[in-house]
Amino acid sequence: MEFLHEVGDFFRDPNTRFAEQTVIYLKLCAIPIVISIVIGVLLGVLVARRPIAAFFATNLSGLARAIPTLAFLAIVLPYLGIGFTPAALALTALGIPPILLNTIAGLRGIDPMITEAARGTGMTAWQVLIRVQAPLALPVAMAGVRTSAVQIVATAPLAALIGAGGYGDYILEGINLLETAPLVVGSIAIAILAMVAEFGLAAVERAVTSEGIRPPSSKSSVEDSIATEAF
Amino acid sequence: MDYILQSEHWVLSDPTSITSLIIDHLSLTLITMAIGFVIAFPLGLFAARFVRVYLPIITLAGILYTIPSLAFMAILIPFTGLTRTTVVLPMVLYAQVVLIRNIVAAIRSVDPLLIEVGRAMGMNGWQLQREVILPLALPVIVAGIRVATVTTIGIATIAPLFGVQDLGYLIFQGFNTSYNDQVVAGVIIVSLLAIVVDFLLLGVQRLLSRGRRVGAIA
Repeated sequence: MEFLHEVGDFFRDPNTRFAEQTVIYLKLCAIPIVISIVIGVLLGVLVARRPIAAFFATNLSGLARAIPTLAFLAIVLPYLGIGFTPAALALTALGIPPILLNTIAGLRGIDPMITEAARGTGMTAWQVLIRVQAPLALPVAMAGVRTSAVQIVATAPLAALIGAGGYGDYILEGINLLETAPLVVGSIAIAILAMVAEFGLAAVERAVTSEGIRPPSSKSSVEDSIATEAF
Repeated sequence: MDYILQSEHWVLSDPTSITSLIIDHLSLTLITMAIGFVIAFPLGLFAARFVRVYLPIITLAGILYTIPSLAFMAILIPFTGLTRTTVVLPMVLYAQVVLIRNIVAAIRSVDPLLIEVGRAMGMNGWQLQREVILPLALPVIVAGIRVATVTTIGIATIAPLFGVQDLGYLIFQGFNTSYNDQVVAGVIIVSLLAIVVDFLLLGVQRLLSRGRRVGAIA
């Protein structure tokens, strides 16, 4: 029970600034996610129809995914210094490859017959993109968004190392002082947010899957989530 | 770049030299993958045969996989302290999703006709498993090992936060002393290590798949 008291004290202590750190952490996740969606999707759409560009984008993104997440944060420090903005930039860079990869995969996975047929009915290139290609590619692209969102949420606590603040501060403090309360509160809060990102976006993914292409029996959300990474 | 190029940073007898840290990093990865595979392999075989246990196993592994590594390791500190266990245990659990999924997918993808043929030749269950199913499943299993290994190399970078030495040391030490060259050296070496291991295992995977094509034709 002593431990619960410690946790209670942790929340009562005004120095822990739990609400403030929560806001910082949420911003640190949300801003990079939004920016990497914009960049990843735009680049993906631009590149998907050009084989050579798509080849480079796919391979570079694949390579980037082998790079440890800590490396993204570490590399901005010597050039951009410490604080929120460098950390947000690093997290954005981390978030782009999965979205870019999946946008390209989603667009290239569309049967050419379908786009051909759409053009045959007199649609303009823009209409084909918005009305035919977008709905078909959206589920795959969303899977990429989920991968990168979960990765950003999981890496954001490390941003405390370069002075961005957020829940990571609690973990670092807990490790340095070997105090249980900040360790436990910090890790549980981070884990909850990661779960919310994973399962929330899995629900979004299912919701944006157009009825016509929905598989007859939907598998568990966790199951197909990592499928894109496994092979 | 200077840090990497100075020869004194490569002396093996220095426990914080790049060479020693690469060895530490690889041994941490190897321990994780060895334990991870020993757990995942029987689970995967089991789940491939009994469809009903697959979903609960993979869902549990998926939920564990979602817990961020920093949080997972941090919450173990009250129990296991700043030890190797704190770092290795979460990494072993993370590896399970990819390993089990690939083992199951690999076994399920074996053409039932070939199993039939094996049986017709008079093979018993064990022989079928060892001489037909596993060789055919191997490339996909190795694909899983590859992804899990690269992920582990990446996650292991935060080990020094928990008192376990590896290449992450260069990054954290560089942070603490504002020695940017050291940070950059750490980033480059650890990224290269991940990429090189990725390529090597891809090579193994390709080598094994070639056998599969021959087998499929036969």
